[in-house]
Amino acid sequence: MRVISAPHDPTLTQEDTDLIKRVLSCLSPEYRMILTLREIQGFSYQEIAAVMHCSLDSVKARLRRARQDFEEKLRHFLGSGNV
Amino acid sequence: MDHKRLKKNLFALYDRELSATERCEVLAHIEDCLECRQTYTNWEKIVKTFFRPPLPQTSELFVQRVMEQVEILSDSGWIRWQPVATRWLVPVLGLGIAALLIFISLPSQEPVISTEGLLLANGPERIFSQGVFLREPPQTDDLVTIVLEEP
Repeated sequence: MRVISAPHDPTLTQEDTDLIKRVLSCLSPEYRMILTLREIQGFSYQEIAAVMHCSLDSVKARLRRARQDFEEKLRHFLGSGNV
Repeated sequence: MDHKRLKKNLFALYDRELSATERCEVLAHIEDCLECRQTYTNWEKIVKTFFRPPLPQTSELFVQRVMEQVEILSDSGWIRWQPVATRWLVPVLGLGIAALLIFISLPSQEPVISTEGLLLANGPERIFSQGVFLREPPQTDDLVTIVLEEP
């Protein structure tokens, strides 16, 4: 298991950034988009719904599935030491 | 059934996208449900580690608006750019006048009651009233003599 940088560290290491990119690239385009909008761009649910042309409930459900998928992929990457 | 319904709102709770009622409901559920609590905590850690909020950037629009206001005020005469010497003149003059007023209003350093008379009255009047001061410090015998001469 790789040791990731401490959460209080204000800067992401290059390794962490690469890992995010790799995990995101493994997700479906829809999940990748919604995660990017929410976690990186900081969009609200309302804004995501407007961008993706869907309802708030749909945003909530997609975001939940995308996060679960991201977590699984991340665990796989960290566990296999594939970084 | 309730667990499934509340689990769906876990991430919405994290994103602060729930109403007050829903929020209280999910929070109460998290307290009791280990699985939901772990899911919530795990995602919290992931976000803190990998998706940190970007540092706030200077808004170009804000800077532009401020500069516009500065130009407007400058044109209308609110802001007058003066040479450095002129700008310091008023505070320095004010400080000088304040110091002068304080100096004038200070009470006299002389005590209200002069202690000179009291000292002379209590001491050996004969010696001090005659203005005789010894150039050398008196010896012990002299002091005894003086005391003995007292009535």
